[in-house]
Amino acid sequence: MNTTPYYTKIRRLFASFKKNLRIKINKYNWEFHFYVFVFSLCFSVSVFIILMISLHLSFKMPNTTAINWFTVHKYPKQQDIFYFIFGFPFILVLSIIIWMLTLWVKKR
Amino acid sequence: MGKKEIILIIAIIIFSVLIGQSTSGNIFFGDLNMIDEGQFAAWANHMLHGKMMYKDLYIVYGPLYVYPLYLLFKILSPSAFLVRLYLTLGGTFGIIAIYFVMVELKLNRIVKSLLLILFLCLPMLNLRESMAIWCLYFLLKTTTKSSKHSFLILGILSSITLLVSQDFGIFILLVSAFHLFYSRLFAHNTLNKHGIRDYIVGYVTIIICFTGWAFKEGWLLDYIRVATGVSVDLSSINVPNGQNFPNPLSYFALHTVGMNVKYFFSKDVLLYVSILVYFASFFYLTVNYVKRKLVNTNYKLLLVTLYGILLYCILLTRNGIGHYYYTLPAVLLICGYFLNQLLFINKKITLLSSALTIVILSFFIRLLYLNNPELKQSLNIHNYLPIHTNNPYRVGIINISKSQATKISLLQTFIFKNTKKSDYVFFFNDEPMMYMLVDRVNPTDYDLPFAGNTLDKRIKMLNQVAMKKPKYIFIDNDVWAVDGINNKTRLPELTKYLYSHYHLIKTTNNVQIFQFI
Repeated sequence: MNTTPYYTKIRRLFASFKKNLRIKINKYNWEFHFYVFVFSLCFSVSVFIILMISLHLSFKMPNTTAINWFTVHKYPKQQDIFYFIFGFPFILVLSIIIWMLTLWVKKR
Repeated sequence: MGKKEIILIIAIIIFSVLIGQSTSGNIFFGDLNMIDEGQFAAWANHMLHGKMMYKDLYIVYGPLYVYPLYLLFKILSPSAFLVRLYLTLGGTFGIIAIYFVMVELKLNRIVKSLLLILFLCLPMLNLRESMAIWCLYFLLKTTTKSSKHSFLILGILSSITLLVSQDFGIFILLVSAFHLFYSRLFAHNTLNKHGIRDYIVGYVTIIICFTGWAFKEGWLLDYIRVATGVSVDLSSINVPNGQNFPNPLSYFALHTVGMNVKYFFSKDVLLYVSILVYFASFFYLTVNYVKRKLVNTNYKLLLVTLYGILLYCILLTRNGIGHYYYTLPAVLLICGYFLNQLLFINKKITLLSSALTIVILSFFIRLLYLNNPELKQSLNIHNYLPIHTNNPYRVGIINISKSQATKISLLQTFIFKNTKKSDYVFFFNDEPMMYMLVDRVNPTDYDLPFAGNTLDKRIKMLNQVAMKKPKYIFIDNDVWAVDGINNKTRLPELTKYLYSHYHLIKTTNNVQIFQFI
């Protein structure tokens, strides 16, 4: 009966994945990684924009007694914060995933 | 510290003070910034009149940003020149820290010089940012030299930063926490065993000292109330100043091809360039992490990037040019790091490395061009020569424009002639500098009336005006309306009260003077 805890398995799996990736990374020079990064970034930004447009997000004006540019122009400020907090990690993580997948496909 | 470094620091101070740019401009010439400089002048002057920080004054920064100026006013007597000098030296203090951060990042001499020129020519640093950069320096130092003192100093500086500015203090606290826990969990060899303990000891010691001082002076609870209120308001819909983050997609949809091409060189796009730099940095760090090449300098780059990202959040609400400059130090340090890699670490020069070098240098030139008008002024020797034989009272030796000097003199003459020192006067627009220049007290807590923009603050302001009955209220119709919204729109209750209880007695230089009926 295998008694290895699940987190040890995950850790081993991650270490093995990292090792394989490292071998593949070292095969290519930095310029290759740069081009993949540019491509993946453009792709991720496009995916993010399409996703946001297709979701038809609407932000309500929060209740406030304040008078400022946002309330005068009825602009829900939280939408900028949402797009940044959600968009930045989304684009970054997706770009890194694409980069990893590219390396994986390239090897095959 | 070597002899060369001492000479360099002296050169930085001389250049920064004489012809460099602070957030308030050159110390010898340029009109008084009625808002940014003015708020400090008003707070310190009101403290000389016996008002207490936070209790009687709505201060959006930490007490240690304002109190030194109050002491300077007390020792040397108030003047606008002293305010500008204080703010300039605050920035200079940060440029010195930037130099040491660059040393920690092991940047080549040429890259360091290039970045120093940018830091001296662009108004990026003020005291609160400078404190954060010093913290960053000690943070980077703890990654290599783990001694008890480094963590203790870091803890002390982090808490001082919090007391200078809440937002910068929080950013530094978050980056320090990341570093302390990351190092503890993943890099046992580089961290002093008692790092976290020493950091907490340093941090708490300052907080305890501060608590005792503020409690003794009687404004501790007011400080906590205002500081938490300001921190919440700045990140919510209640923020007094700020506009939407520019959206290029909506711009492209509304403009012609030519305009869209032009847009790529606009200031709005620079906001996205910063994001691109952070993406590049994270990607670079990820590749090196997987390659097991997350060496010490790369880890330092990670800390700088984290600090930069947190700082960037300021721009989500307040993305004007002034705040944009504040967020640049981390971006420039990352660009300098990449430039160093391209030119001096990666010795093989290729088409791509040359292209990237040109792109980074173009970005630097674009930034310099952004501040082109001020730089041109600084290089014009005539601006340093005095143009007035008699500057208005309390302006000091700054060369200000004739129109500003006339306006200040007219108001001073009127107020000195018609009021006593104990009389209240109220400047309805955002020009707090006038309180210091006329040496009179504001009846309200709000030297910048636009900052009291929520209903409870507006009512408080109205009650204070109604209770203390300022003899005169001034409305300057030339004054810059923050975000294009004037104070008549921002403060409807006070405007109504003004027109029902005061009558217009005079208009001078487009300033309306209202007298209590």
